[in-house]
Amino acid sequence: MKAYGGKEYVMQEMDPREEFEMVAAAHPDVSQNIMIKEDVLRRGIDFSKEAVEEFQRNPKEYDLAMSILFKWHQTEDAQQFSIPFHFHLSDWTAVGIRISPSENRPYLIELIDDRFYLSRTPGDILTEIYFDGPAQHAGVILPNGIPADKICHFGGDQFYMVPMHHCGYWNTGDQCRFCDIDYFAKHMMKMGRGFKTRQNPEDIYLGVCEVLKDEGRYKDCFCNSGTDPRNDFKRDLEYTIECIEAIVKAGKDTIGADPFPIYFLSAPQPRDGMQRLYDAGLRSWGSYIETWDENNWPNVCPGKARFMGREEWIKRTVGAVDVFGKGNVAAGFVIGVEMAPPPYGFEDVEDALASTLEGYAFLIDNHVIPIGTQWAIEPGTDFYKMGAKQPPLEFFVRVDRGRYQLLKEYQKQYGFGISADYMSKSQPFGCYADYQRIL
Amino acid sequence: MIELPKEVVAAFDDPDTIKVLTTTDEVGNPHTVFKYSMVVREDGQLAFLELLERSRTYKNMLRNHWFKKKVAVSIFNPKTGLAYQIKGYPTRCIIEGDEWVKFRADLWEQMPDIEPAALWHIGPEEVLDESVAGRFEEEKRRILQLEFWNIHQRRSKYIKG
Repeated sequence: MKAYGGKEYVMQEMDPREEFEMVAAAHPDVSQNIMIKEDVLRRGIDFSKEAVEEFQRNPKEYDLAMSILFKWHQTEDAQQFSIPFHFHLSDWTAVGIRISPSENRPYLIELIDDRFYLSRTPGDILTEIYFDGPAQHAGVILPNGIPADKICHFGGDQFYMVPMHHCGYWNTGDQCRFCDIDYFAKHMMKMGRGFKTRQNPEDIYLGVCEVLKDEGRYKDCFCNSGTDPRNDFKRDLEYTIECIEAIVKAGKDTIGADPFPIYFLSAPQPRDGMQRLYDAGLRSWGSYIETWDENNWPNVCPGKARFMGREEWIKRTVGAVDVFGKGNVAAGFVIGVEMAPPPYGFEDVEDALASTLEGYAFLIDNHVIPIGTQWAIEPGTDFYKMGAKQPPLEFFVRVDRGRYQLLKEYQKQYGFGISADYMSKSQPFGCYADYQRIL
Repeated sequence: MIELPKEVVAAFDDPDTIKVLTTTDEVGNPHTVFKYSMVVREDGQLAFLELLERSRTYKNMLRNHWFKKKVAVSIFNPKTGLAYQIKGYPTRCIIEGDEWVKFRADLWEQMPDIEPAALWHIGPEEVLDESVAGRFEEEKRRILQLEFWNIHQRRSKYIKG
């Protein structure tokens, strides 16, 4: 992998502080908080023992949506812990928590005098961090016996749902090469605690009704889900409609909102399918194209290539603007996969950047909101098994900044902007929402 | 220079209107003060009397004039709810002549022991309606889905009973 002017780059071999300061000096117009988020998502997180113990002591104070098996250094056994889904920086930037091996030199969350800090190494504090206050539905058991926070995760002013924790591409070994959804689901099932792989409409209805009892907190909900590619994605469409109808009904019955604002990510449908999603009450929809380059695409997402094809995927996604309107359709990439080892990505950072920004320009020209989730090389993914390494910090900084500049040009051209306003302060795994706060 | 809306010009004559001036220093730090003497001149420029020699505002106005940096004037009338912001350049500093004498006479009726430092003119370049309703309408034009995604801004329609 080549970066920083064509030099050979291996993240694990570069001093984290040196890399951070070098990139910051080269991009003085990029905020430190955005760079911290990009680097934290890239290097991952580790916890001090005191921080983890605080989460277990006061579980209702935090969004403990994830369970992990954690092994302290120099201990024999792994222990099961609950940890938060994300934290906030001083400007409310939401940063997702990804556990990372020590070879990545992850950032450290420490508890010092009852306050949480993000550090490079123990005691080397970078900034204070904050966690979401307790959600009213945390710990509530729904009438169907499922914990409400297993249906709806919470974060800031948005609740997040994953109705289906299984993706059909895994059935044929065609899963996206960065994806860990089925591995994650298997892990969560093993942990128990009421996790359900496929939620039915009743689960969703009950969960959303419970969440919306917290009057005034939640503005909207965000859903993404595993895909069912069978029958040209027709089963996928029917299930998605059932989920939307359940959320809409809960919004209407609980607070009278009609329709309650939902943003749903799913596989793109032909126009009549998109219209059915709209008619069910959906007002904003998006899909993930995953990576832009046409040669890399079938290697990165073989299921999408096999069951639909790149051209059709993009055509349907762009066509959705006719149904939902300008700025109500989003499409994204998994930012960083462009630098997966060839033939999945590019060897040089400049080629990867050019490709992704070309893709974003195409989406923006078609009034589609450009979004992106930063790549995590998680256990259970094919890229992890291949030994893929994280791209340089420079790549993430320049992609996010480049996308922001394209959106500014659009705004200048049309007098209005397209932005994922439903994500404005609640997107922990990418920086598009953070940049749009200054659009 | 732009022409100010009639309701803004009228508001400057209303004694209930609060008038606030923000200038910036050499490193960009803002400095905000109340300026009750501020009026709209016949030529459409704003005018106010700076009371103290080499005060922060005095120096900032001079620097903002030299380096062509804008200053901001906010007005708010608590009785009518009118709220506007005007941005403009300091265009002229005066310490003699009829206008100066009139401002000084008005000052001395209130504060006979103050020797004013300068009369400043500000040429308006931008005017913004800062009322909540006005700002929301403006943002709706700029952000396409603002009303839909800000569900709490239409809560009154949804609250039951």
